[in-house]
Amino acid sequence: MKAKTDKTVWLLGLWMCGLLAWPGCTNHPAPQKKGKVVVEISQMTFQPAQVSAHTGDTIVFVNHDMVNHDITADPKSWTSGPLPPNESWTLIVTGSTAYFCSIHPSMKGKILVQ
Amino acid sequence: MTILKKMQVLAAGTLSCVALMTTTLSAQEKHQLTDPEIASVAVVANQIDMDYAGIAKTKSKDADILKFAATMAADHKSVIDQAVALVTQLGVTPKDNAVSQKLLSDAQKTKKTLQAKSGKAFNKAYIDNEVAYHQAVIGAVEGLLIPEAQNSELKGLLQKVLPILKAHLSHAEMVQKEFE
Repeated sequence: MKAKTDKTVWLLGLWMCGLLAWPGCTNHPAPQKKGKVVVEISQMTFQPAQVSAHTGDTIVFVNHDMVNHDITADPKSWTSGPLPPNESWTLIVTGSTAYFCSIHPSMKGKILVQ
Repeated sequence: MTILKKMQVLAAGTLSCVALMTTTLSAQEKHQLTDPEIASVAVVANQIDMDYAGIAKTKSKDADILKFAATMAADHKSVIDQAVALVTQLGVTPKDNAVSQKLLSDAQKTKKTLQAKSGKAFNKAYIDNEVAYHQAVIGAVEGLLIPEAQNSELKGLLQKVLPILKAHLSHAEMVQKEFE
C-alpha cells in the first residue's frame, strides 16, 4: 500500500512539473527571444540592403570595406558616427526606417519592422 | 578671359585628359604594364585626387563641396595606405612609367586651371573635373589595370577599389546637379 502511495505522489509531482513548464500555464509569459541580424558593408553596399526585424531586435553592421562608413537614418534622426574598416556597430530596432551612409550617399538600406 | 571662355578651357582640358588617358591605354595594350608600374599608376591616380581635394579645401566655402572633398581626401588616403602595405608585403617597388607620368602632367594643368578660379566658378569647375576624372580612372582600372595585373593580391586590391571609385562618381554627380 505504501509503495503504491509513493508512486502516486511521484507521478503527481512529475505532472505538476510538466504543467508548470507548459507555455501559457504560468502567470508570467515566456519572454520573446530577441533576434539578431548582421548587415555586411562590402563593396560600398549594405548587404542585405533590406532587412526585416522585430522591435527590440539588434542589427549589427560590420564594415568590410577599406574606407570609413556610417549608418545614418533618413531623415537624420540618428547616426552611428564614423565606422572604420573591420569594426562593427549595433543598432537596437525601434521601428521601420530608411538609412544611408552620409559619407557615401549612394549607399542606402532599409529596416522593416514586422 | 571671360568666365565662359575659362570654362571652355577647363572643359577642353578635362576632355583632353580623358582622351590622352584613353590613348595611353590603347598604347599600353601593346606594351603590357608590369605589376610595379600598375602599383605606381594606382598610387599616383589616388594622390592626384587627394591634391584636388586639398585645393577645394582652401578655395571653396560650399558645404557640399567641402564634404565631398573631405571624403575624397580620406578615402584615397585609405586606398594608398592599403596599396603601400600590399606592395611592401609583396616586396614590389612602384615603378614610374608613361601612364603615371601622363596622369601627373595632366593633373598639373588641371590644378593651375582650378587655382585660377574662385567662388561658384571654382565649385563648378572642381566638381565637373571630379566627375570626368573618376570616369577616366574607372575606365583605366577596369580596362587596363585589373586585366594586366599579374599578382592575384594586387588584382584583388584593384577590384576592391573599383566600387569605391564608382561610389565617388555617383556622389560627384549628385553634387554636380547643384551647380547646373
